Amino acid sequence: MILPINLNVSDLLVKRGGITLIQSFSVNLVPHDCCILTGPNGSGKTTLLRTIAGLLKPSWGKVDLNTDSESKPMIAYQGHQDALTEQMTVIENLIFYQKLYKSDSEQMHSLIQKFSIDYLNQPVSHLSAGQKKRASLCCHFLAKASLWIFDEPATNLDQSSISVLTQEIKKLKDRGAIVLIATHSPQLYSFISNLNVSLEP
Amino acid sequence: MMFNFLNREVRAVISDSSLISSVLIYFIIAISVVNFVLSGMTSTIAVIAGSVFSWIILLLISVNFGYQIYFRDFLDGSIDKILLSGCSLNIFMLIKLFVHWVFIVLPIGVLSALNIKILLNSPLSYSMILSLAVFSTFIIACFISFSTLIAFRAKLGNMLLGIISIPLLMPLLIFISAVSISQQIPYNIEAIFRILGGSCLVLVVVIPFINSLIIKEVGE
Repeated sequence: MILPINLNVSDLLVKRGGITLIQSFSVNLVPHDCCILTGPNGSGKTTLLRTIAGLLKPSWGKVDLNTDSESKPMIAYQGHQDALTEQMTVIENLIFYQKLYKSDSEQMHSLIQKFSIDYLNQPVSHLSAGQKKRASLCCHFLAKASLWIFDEPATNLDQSSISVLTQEIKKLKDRGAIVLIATHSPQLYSFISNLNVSLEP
Repeated sequence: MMFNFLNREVRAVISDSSLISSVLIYFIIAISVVNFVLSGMTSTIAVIAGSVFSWIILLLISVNFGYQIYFRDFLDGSIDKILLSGCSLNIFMLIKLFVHWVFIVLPIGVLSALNIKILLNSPLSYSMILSLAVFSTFIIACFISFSTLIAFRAKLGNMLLGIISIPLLMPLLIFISAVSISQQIPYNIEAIFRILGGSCLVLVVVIPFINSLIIKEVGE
């Protein structure tokens, strides 16, 4: 069950190292929205996503997650890094995130099958970039979040894994989550997205 | 949740054979240097030289490997997920501190203390030396965790960590010395344990809290 929320970003200004990366950015998203964020390298896509996730503080403006419920909505953020502990095996990482997000093992095994993770007992340090990305996405989808943020999620993935990824994102959207995706390949998500935002450098 | 974090940290440290072997190699080199320096010295100078060498080596090793333990989550991006999961960051930092202390600082501290005891035939008993090593290594681990995160926040390099760790320890050492002198503690080992134990109790609460505050700001 996804807690329905409204995301209101108003007049956002974000500076890093004295350089203004995001200026006067506003957007309002409601449940079932999927927003695609595009823009050339250095246009501030990652900075904007991290600010919306609450991992960076804006210099000006507000990011509000409004809900009717008293419980705090959760945000799931998938950045460029895989968020996997290199010294541990894939299954150990998955179990850690399953417990962190308090999700059930059935969901975990279903995701393992969908992403074809047949290297569960291998240490993460021995995996290829694509294998790591699949394991990382598997951990990510264990979260029970209302706002899902993806920063170039299809990087290093093969065609079949991209297909699984987009289907999983569609399911989240259908269940009432808000999805934000930064990408250089907006056509991959064209069947899910209902809003496109382009950032200028 | 606590067990989940503990399980992850212990597995990561134990599985990192390069980390464990590096600590051992560092330690063997350090023991050899200390024992070489002490040979041929008079007992008073040897006690001072041996203690100073051991302390510096312990600090440098702890800082170096503390850096790896605390920064792993920043480098792989898992800190973002832990921050957003809504779990207690204080508990997470307490577990990190505990693992760093148990696997890196404590073994080196205890072996260094025993080395000096055997080499110099100190009048203090083995149990006394071990107890002192346990308390003092915990205090060192607390300050290293704090200074490591401060250095990361200030975007300083690894080499600078050792330099800033030493002044951070000074206020505590001055405080302990001042109390020791006022209580004539060189003759009262029980009072020394009380001060060290009290300091550990305060630090075990305060340091994870301060560290989690620093982590929340680190994202910038």
